[in-house]
Amino acid sequence: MNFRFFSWELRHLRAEPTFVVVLLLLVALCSVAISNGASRLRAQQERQAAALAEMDTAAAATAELARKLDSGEATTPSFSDPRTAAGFAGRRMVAYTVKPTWALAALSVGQSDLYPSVHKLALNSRESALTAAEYENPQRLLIGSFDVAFVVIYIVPLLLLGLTYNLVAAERERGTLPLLLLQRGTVNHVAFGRGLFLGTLVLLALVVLLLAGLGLSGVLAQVSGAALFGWLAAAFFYGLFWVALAVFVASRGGGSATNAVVLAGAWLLFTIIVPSAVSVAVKAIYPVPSRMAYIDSQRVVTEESRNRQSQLLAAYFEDHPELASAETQAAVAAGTQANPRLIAHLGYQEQERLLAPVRARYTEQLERQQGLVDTLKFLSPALLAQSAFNQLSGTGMERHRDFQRQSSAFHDTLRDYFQPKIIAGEAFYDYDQVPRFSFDEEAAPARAARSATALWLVLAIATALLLAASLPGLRRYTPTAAAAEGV
Amino acid sequence: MLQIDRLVKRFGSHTAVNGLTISIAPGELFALLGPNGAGKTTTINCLLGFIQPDEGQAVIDGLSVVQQPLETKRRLAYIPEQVNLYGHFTGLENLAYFAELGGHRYAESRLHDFLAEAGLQPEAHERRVSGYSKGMRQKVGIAIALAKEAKVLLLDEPTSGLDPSASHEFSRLLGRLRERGVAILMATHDLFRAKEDATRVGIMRHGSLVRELTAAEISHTDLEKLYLETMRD
Amino acid sequence: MISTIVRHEFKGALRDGRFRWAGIIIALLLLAALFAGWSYHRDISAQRREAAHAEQHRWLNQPEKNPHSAAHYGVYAFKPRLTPALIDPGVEPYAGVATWMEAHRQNDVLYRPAEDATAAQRFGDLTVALVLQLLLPLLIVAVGFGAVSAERERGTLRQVSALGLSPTRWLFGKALGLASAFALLAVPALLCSGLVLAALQDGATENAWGRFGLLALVYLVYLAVFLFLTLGVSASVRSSRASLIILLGVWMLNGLLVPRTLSELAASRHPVPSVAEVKNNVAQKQQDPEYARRAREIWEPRVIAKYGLSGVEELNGLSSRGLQLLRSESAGYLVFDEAYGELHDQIEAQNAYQRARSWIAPLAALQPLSRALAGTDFAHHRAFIESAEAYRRVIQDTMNEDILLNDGKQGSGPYLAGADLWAKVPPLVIPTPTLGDALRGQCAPLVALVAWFAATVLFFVTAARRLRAL
Repeated sequence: MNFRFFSWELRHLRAEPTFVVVLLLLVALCSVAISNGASRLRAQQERQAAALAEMDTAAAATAELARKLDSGEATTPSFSDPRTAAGFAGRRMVAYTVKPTWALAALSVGQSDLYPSVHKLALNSRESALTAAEYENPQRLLIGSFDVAFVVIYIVPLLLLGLTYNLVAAERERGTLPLLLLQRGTVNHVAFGRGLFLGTLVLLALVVLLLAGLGLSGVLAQVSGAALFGWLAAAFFYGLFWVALAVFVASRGGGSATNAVVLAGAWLLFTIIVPSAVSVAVKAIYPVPSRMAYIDSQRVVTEESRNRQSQLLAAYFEDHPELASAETQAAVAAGTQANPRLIAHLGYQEQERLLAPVRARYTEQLERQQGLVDTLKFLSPALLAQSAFNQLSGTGMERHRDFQRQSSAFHDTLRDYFQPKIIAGEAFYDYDQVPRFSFDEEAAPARAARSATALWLVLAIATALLLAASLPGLRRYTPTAAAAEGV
Repeated sequence: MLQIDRLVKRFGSHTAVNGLTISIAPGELFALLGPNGAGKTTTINCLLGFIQPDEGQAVIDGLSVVQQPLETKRRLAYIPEQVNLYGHFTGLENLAYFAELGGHRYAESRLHDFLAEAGLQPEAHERRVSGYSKGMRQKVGIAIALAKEAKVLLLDEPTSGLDPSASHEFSRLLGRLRERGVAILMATHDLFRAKEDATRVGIMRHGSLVRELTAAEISHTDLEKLYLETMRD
Repeated sequence: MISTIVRHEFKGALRDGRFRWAGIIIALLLLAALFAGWSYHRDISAQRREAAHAEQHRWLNQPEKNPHSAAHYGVYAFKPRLTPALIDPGVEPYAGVATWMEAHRQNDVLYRPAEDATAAQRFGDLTVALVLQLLLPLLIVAVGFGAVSAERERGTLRQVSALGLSPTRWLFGKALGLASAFALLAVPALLCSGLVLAALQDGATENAWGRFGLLALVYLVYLAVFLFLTLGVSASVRSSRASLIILLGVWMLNGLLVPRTLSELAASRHPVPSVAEVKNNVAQKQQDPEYARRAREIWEPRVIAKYGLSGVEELNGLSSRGLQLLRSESAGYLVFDEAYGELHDQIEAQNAYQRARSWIAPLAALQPLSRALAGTDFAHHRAFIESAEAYRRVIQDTMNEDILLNDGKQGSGPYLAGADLWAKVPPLVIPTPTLGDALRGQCAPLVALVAWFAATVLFFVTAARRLRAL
């Protein structure tokens, strides 16, 4: 395969309209996809910025209100008085946890349309804060987004297969293959050379398009180089896998219509049947119980903790003798007096304690599902590519679960900060001292890049294996149609 | 039975058939000779209604090919150069299918008879056609023609690619059909077969009939010499 | 004669290795999808029944407490699932399953099942709908793309055309033959689905059979569209290769590009507001005295009439706490109707936008119909949201009116009510939308599907008429 070969291939391409059509389609689809992704990214980033800004303005407004209340310029009912810990934490505090969207989410929306990237926390309900979702048309979630990941996973393979399904068969059916072979050695050269040449050309065009699109939409500057490289490599080798599959199918010696049907079948199998079957199988093997059952347990637990109030209170004072005077303890024991804030706090703690194992059942089951998907994803290059794209774009489940864990822990931090003050009925003015959330994921980008590298290497190896497997078939390839049909 | 009257067919500026007139009576076999591009296949395609003639007309059994294409086609049978069949059906099934589409439903034993008459060895009747040789396919084609009980038979290079003994057997069959009063038009390059089988021979060139020989003339003519001379003029 | 062609095509399809293997695979996938759908539906329905029953029990067995405490305790509403949903789960994975109906606010419907699933779900679940919408059409294409063009290439078309048989009849015979081969797949699939449906039949879905029947019908029409389209294309083009490429292109547009493009266009045309925007809107409106004034015109006459009061004077003489609660709660109703109404209208507008363009592709017409009939479109979800909210209002009004009449009558100490009052709230029943309700707004896709059918039949007939042997 020398330079002359490529220059001839280029001449062929110029004469062949399909190649131009494929490139034009690619340009059109990528532009739409990138503009969709970039606008989603911007919307999310705006939402996150708004949340952060609201925390600052709310803190400033509260400080101002407190000043006015002190000076008598304003009045407020005691339960919402920001100068008490209870009033501030219960009524005035604005606390968000934010998962900053990575810029590469412009390429792969992934699960980011499903999982919120902002949680608004309330001191007394972890549940409602962490389960609230962004409003979205469920039908849009169902159909999925028109992003670059969609174009790469579903459409690029079809375009590549459309270009390469009849690499050798068409020459044979035209009767030009024997002539070609006389001039240029073996069928290997024709199949490999032409297939890889066309495939690489299209995929390089894709890479250039994506870089240009990211540059034009202003996202490129925010993207980390390693992640972008991983993303493009995954897309490249995913595409090349399909070219290798076309070469492999060509090596089996079928006619071009047969090859087209076989390749369309393979596409259907890998991008639709296997993933959807994996999804259903995983859910059947490790079913996550309905959240209706969860709500049921939650209600039971609330009831239970309410019924055990006096018991809890007694236990609390045993643990915290410093907080209770002798009279209080006596009054509590007699059931005639109790600090309602303390009771609420204890009830909350008890609910959390009882709910923890129920919640764990859901997360554990979901983790088992994910574990199975991580194994089964090797059955389909589309699942591999999706996994790599989501990890590198930070739009996968793992990162979100991390965010939820940290948000939940931050909720504990907030409670630990406020509860002693609330129970003790302290005055409160430290509005800028309230703990702030920051998503700690220093290691995450590197981890995502590492595991995505593993995934695209698998795709590259699968490609190489397919090419190797097609060698014997190509060597035996019968160059004339009549001979192939055994007439 | 078959009358072709001043038939003209043009493709753009090229005139493929130019005022062709032929009349074939029942029991006659008219062999149409001529080089590639002389208009033989175009004539047959016109008779089959696959293409519309620009001028003139063709009449089969009193019916105009142009005005009643379906009716005329019921009265004729056609064997192309290469008989094409459905690969994953047996010879018998192919015959039954074509016969029924042609409007004839036969008992299975009758179908076997047709195939046997066409010379297909009995053990092949129930084998899938995808394993047949060209000669065997040709025989199924003949059986289809027999089963159609047509009054006119159109043949387009029927013996090309057949080995001499198959080709001889084919001639024998044509003789039998003639005896039943079928009018046969056979376009061919095979001068030997034309001389053997035909009751009349015509030589076409540039879409017109330039020579016509009667049965009496054929037997004492060197057909090859005549053909080459005709082409040279 | 046509029966000959039908039998020939039918046998031919069965002998075709492609059809046999693909048919077996698709039949297995259908069975698997049906089984998965059935077992999921059974589990979910059982869990729902249990949870709803427990909720009802908890409500009725509340200890003596102030009615407003009971209102705060509230009840959870769980979304019912119609049996046909096992065929097409539609938006279900992406719409919540439960909402807490408490005092003062209309809570969102939470817990979307997709949040408790892996990203593999986003490829789409293996459902009967997926098999029928995407896989079966592809099988029709794979088996039928050469129906005519391959006969042309093999030369059999010449011979068949020489037989004196009308090409239209021949092509119709072919269509019927292929259709009966596909019926081998479709009829058992329908029967199995019917059996499963019968096995699951419960009170929640009175109109399940009507829905199922119509579902079967629209899917058959959709598949017929593909059959006629495939044969028409095969008869119109010169080579099988061209026929295949064209049909695969149509399939890809129909199944992949059109749905996502329409969905994105609709979303950019009718953007859904964010949670923060909606909640701010609610908070702002709740400050607006206009709503309280309008609400008063509604609830005051109602309460006066219901309890036979002489007029506003007598009403205002009743418990001030009760009045306060009724005032703010009723104003809230108007606020929620407006704020969430706008949100839901916006989502519905996106879907209507897509339905109005459902003539673009057969699948764009089929999908909304399928979801509507299966009871899994947004309209059904919204019906649930609205009937849950209506029930919440029944609870609130019952509690608040009780406070209005009885608070302060028991002498000193807070007013406590008991089981009698809890039982005054009727059990929660989420009505199943009727077939008419389900199909409201589905006019465009219905017409579009019929138009596609008519257009493909016309195309098929024209292609047959124009069929030339050469």
